[in-house]
Amino acid sequence: MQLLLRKCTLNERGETELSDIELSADQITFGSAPDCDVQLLGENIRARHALLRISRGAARIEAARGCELSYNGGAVARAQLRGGDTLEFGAHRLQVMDAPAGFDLALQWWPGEVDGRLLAQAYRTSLRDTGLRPRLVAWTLAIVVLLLAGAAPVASYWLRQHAGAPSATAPGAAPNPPLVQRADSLWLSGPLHAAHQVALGGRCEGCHQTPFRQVTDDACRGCHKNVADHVDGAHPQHALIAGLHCQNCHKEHNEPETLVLRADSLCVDCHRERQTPVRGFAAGAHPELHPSLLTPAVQRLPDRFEVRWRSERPAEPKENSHLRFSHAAHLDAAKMRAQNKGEPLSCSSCHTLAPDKEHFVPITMEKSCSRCHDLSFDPRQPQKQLPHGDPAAVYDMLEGYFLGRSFGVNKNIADDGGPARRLPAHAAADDSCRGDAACARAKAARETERQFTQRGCVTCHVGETFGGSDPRTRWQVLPVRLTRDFYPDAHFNHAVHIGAGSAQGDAACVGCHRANTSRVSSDVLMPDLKTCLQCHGDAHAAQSFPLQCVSCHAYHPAAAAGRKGSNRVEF
Amino acid sequence: MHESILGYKKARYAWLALLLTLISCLLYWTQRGPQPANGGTWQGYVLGTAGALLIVWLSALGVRKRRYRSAVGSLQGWASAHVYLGVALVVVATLHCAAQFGWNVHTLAYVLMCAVIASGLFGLFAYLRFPRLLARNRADRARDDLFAELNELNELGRSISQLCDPDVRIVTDSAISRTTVGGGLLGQLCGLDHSQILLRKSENSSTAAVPVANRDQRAAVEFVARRIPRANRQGEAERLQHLLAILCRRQTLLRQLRRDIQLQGWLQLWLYVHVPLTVALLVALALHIVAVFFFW
Repeated sequence: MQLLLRKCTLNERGETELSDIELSADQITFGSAPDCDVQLLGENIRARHALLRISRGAARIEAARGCELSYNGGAVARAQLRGGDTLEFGAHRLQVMDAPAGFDLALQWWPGEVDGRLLAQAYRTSLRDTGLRPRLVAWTLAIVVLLLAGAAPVASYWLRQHAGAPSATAPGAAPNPPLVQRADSLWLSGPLHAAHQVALGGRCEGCHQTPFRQVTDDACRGCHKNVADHVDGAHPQHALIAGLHCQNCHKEHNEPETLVLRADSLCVDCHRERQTPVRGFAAGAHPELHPSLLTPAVQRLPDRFEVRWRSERPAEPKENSHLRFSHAAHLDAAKMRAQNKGEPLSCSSCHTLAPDKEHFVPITMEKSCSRCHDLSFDPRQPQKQLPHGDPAAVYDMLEGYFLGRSFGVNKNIADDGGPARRLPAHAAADDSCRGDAACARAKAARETERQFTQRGCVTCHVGETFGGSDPRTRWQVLPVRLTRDFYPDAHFNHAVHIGAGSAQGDAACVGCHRANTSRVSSDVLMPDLKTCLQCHGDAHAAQSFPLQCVSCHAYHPAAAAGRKGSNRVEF
Repeated sequence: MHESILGYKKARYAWLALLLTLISCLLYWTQRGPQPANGGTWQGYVLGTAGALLIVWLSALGVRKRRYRSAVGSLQGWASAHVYLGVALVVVATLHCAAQFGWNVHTLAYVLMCAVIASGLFGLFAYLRFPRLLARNRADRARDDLFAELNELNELGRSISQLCDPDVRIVTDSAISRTTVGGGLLGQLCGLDHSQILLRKSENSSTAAVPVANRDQRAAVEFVARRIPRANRQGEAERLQHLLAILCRRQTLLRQLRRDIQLQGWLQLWLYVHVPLTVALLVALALHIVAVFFFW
C-alpha cells in the first residue's frame, strides 16, 4: 500500500509546518518501537501497537493483542478508516484525509507533546517484559511436585490395595508389582535390605501394614517366625528389654548393612556387668569356652536300660557317649597298615561337613565303621553279618543260622566240625547239633552272649547282661549318642577355618582338635579359648582376624523350634 | 547511615544462626552408636522439626514484606534473619538427613531447599553488589532520563540527517529505528546488541541498501565519519560533524542503558527462581512429612 503521512508541526513563530512522508509497504506498523513505520511515543503506546493494511479496497487498522485504539473518540480493537476519521495514540492525533493520486491512504499527523522518557516503552527493558511469569512457574512446579511425588505414590498404594495383590507376608519371594503400582517407591526414605526387597517385592504394606502407624513386631514375625527374645520373661534381666521393639534395633531404610547390629557394645554393655563378665574377645576379657555335652542319666530297669540325655556344661568336660573309641588309633597310619585294615584313615573318612558348614553329618556304623569293621561271626561264612542296632535281632539271626546248619540248609558247611577254624574265643563253637534244634538254639544263645560280652559288640559298645532266660533281651548295650553341637549358643564356619591357614587335610583339623593324641572316647576334643586367640581377637587386638561378638554369637537365641541361628527366616 | 542487612543490629541473627548450627551439630553428635545417624532417630526428628519450622518461617518473609503496616519486627530485621537462618538451614537439614540421599521425595525436598538457598545467596550477592554498579553506570541518573536523552538525540539526529544527503538520511534513520536495547531474557541478561543499519554494499553502488549489523553503533559512526572528509556542499561538513557527535553520544547512552538493563535483570532474576522454587519446596516438604508418617 502507498501511504502519505503529512506531519503537521508548529515552528517557533507558531506557524504550521507540513512535511510529507511517503511510506510504501504491505502493511504499516504504529508503535513506540523505533523500527515501527510510524513511531509514536506516549503513555500506553506499546512497542507495536497497531497495524494498518488495505484489504478489499478498504483501509483497516487493527490494534495489537491487549491494545486498544481510540477511534473517533471511542475505544475499539479494530476499525475501517474513512475520510475524516480520527485516530488518537496518546497525545498523537491522526486524521484520515483524501488521498492524493497514487496513494491508497493519506493521514494527517499532529504529534503531541511527548515525554522522551516514554521511549523506554519501546523496548523490553525488564524481565517482566520477557514473558516470564514467576507465579505461573511457581504454580506449575508445585503442581508437578504434587502430582509426581504426592498423587502418584498414593495412587499406586491405593491400586495395590484394590488390585488383589498377594500378601507381602506370604512365604517366598514376592514378584514386583507392575510399574504403575510402584510409584510409592518415591516415598522410600532409604534403601531396603536386599532380603526384604526380594521377599516383599516392593510392597511397602508388607511391613507398613497400617498407614500412619509404626511398623509392629508382628509384621516382622510374619516372616521371622523363629526369632525369640534375647531372654525370656522369667529371666531376671528381662526388664531391660521389656519395652524394646524390633524397630528399636533393626532400622530398615537406613544403611542396609547395619540392619543387623554388629557392634560389640550391643553385648558387652550389659554383659560386662554379669556374673561372668565379658568385655570383648581377648585373654581375660572373654570367659573360657565351656562346651555343652550330652550327659546320659541311665536307669537300669529289670529288662532294659532307660536313658535320658541332658545337655550340660560341666566344669570338667568328659564325654560319656557310651562308645569305646580311640581317635589316635584310627589316625595311626602305621598301625592301620600293619593290621592290614586298608588305607590309613583321615578325619574326613568319617567326618563329613554338613551343608550348614558348622556341623558334621552324624556318624553311623553303616556309613563309617562298617567299611573296616564287619559284623561277621563265622569265619567260614564271612558274608554272614549280624544286624546292627537291634539286640533281639542278633539272636534271631544267629538262631536261624545255627538251625540251618543243624538241619543241613547250609550244605557246604555241615555242622560236623568240618573245615571251621578254631578261633580263640570260639572254644565251644564246634559242637555238633546235627538234627537237634535245641542244641542249635543253645549254640545261638552262646554265640549271642559272646557277641555281647566278649567280642563283637563290646569292641565299641558298653554291654550288660540282664536277668531272664530269653536270649533276645538278656543282653543289651547302652545306647550311643554323640554330641552334635558343643556350643549351641554360638555359630562357627568350619569351611572358612579349614581353608584359612597354611595347614591342609588332617593337619588343619588337629590344629584345633587334638584327635591324634586322644586314646579314649571321653576326651572332649574341642579347642579352648587360647587356641582361638592364636588367630583372633576383638577390634582392639592386633590379631589378623578380629572377631565381633556376633561373629560367633546370636543376639536372639534359638526359638521354640530349636533352630540355631534363629534370625533366619522361616518360610 | 545505611546499614547492610548483614550487619543489622550488630549481626545479632548471625550469632543466632551460629548458635542454631552448634546445637544442631551437638544433637547430631549424640547419635553416635551402632546405627548410623538418620532422620528417624529422636535427634533426627528434632532436627527435622526445626528445619521444617525454619522453612515455613523463612517463606513467611514473602508475606511479611507485603504487609507494610505490620509491626512484627522491622523488615530489615526480617531480611537479616532470613539470610542468616537460611544459611543455617543447610546445616540443620543436612544433619537431619545425615547426608543420606536417594531418588525420592525426601531428597527432592532437600535439593529444592538447596536450590532455594543458593538462589537466595546469589540474590544477597546481587543486592550487595549490583546497586553500586548500577549507580556508577548511570552516573547517578535515572534510567528514564537516559531514555529521554536518547529520544532527544534520536529526534535531533533525524532532523539533522534530513538536511544531509539521502543516503546519510537513510543510514541515520535506519540506525535509529533499528537500534535495539534489552530484549528477551538472554538479550537483557547478556546485554546483547542486535542493532542493525541499512547500508549499500558499496558507497557508489546504486543497489538497494541492505541491513547489516550495527553493534555498538559502530557502523553508523564509521559511515558518518567517512563522509565528513568528502563533504563539498556548504555547511555539510558541519552538519555531518554535528550528526557524528550525536551518534557518538547515542553510542555512550546505549552502552549505559544496556549495562543498566543487564544489571537490573540479574538483580531481578534470582527472585524469578527463588520464589517459585520456594513454593515447590513447601509442597515437597509437606509431602516429605506425609510420606515419613504414612510409612512410619
